[in-house]
Amino acid sequence: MEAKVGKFFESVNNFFSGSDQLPWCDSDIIAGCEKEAAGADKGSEELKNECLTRFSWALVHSRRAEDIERGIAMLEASLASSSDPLKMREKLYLLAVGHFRRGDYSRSRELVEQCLMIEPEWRQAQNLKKAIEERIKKDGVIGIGIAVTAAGLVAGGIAAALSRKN
Amino acid sequence: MASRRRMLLKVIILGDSGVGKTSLMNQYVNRKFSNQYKATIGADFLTKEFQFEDRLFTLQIWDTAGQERFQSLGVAFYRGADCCVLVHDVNVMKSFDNLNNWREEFLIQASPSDPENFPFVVLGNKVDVDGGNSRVVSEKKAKAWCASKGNIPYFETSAKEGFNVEAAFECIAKNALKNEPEEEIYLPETIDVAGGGRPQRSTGCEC
Repeated sequence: MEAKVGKFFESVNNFFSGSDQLPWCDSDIIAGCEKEAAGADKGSEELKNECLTRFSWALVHSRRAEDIERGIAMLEASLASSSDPLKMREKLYLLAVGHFRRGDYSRSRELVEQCLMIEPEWRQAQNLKKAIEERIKKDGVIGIGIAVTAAGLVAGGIAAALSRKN
Repeated sequence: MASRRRMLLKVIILGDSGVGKTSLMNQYVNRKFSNQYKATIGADFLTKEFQFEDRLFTLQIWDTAGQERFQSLGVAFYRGADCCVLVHDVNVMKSFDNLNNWREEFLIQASPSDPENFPFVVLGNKVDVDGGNSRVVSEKKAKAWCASKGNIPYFETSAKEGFNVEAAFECIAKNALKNEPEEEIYLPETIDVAGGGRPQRSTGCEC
């Protein structure tokens, strides 16, 4: 019984704590990736691409909004000039992560659905889609909560005003 | 009511591209398997609740990219890990040979406080392939390597068949507990007024 009650509170806690199942990338790692990408400028195309992939991964998983924006910009530019389907798949996924972290859930969902159209069994994309949907739901619940509270406050205010009249 | 403390245990799964890391995790958490191989990008994780003795904890299982180009990002994923799972494909010798590299790379990048005693678990996956006829890494060989690295627990698994996956992850969870972090998450409604001490942990893993 206790375990069940525990699990219930657990799921409520998870719902509101908004923990997604994506890593957060610390800024020292982002800096390292940036340095590496800059250094690869003189190297082969393949090396440059690898460094940029790591760098864009790091940026979209950052805790800082400006990093995420930068990552999104990089990936969008890179997608425009991309033809390799494997690379495109990666970029789409990373873009979806970026938009998700930025709070742009509908765009993120569009992108992740593109990913799943390419590869329906792609676990990472399925995972991200689930995270997006839970976040949308949560925002909806909080929105309703705020509306209910606001309505309650208004009703309470009216009741108080009325009672004072008497 | 005893206090309901919930702990988060971070487990990292490492190994060459294609050995079955994603499938093992998917089988354990979702009881699903897919033949469609899709290389993992960077890393992400799934969580699963686990009850051991009287405690509930959350196993945070990190699925990492096996491809070389994501390897230097390892430090981003490895930090704070409580247990590391090394996976190889029993039908691919190279994946077994690389276990040593994965283990060392992990210890370097994660920098655990007690590297000598950091819990690892080794999984020899894909034992189902071709009825075992294309197998090149014997159980004996794998166990010998595990013994030489500080008696690392070893499991033969098949993510496809769901063989031994549950048992392996139970052992992984127990080993992660041995490396228990100081942080604990207290659920809001109970306060441990009695100041009860930590319950006795089992001394070893029975695996």
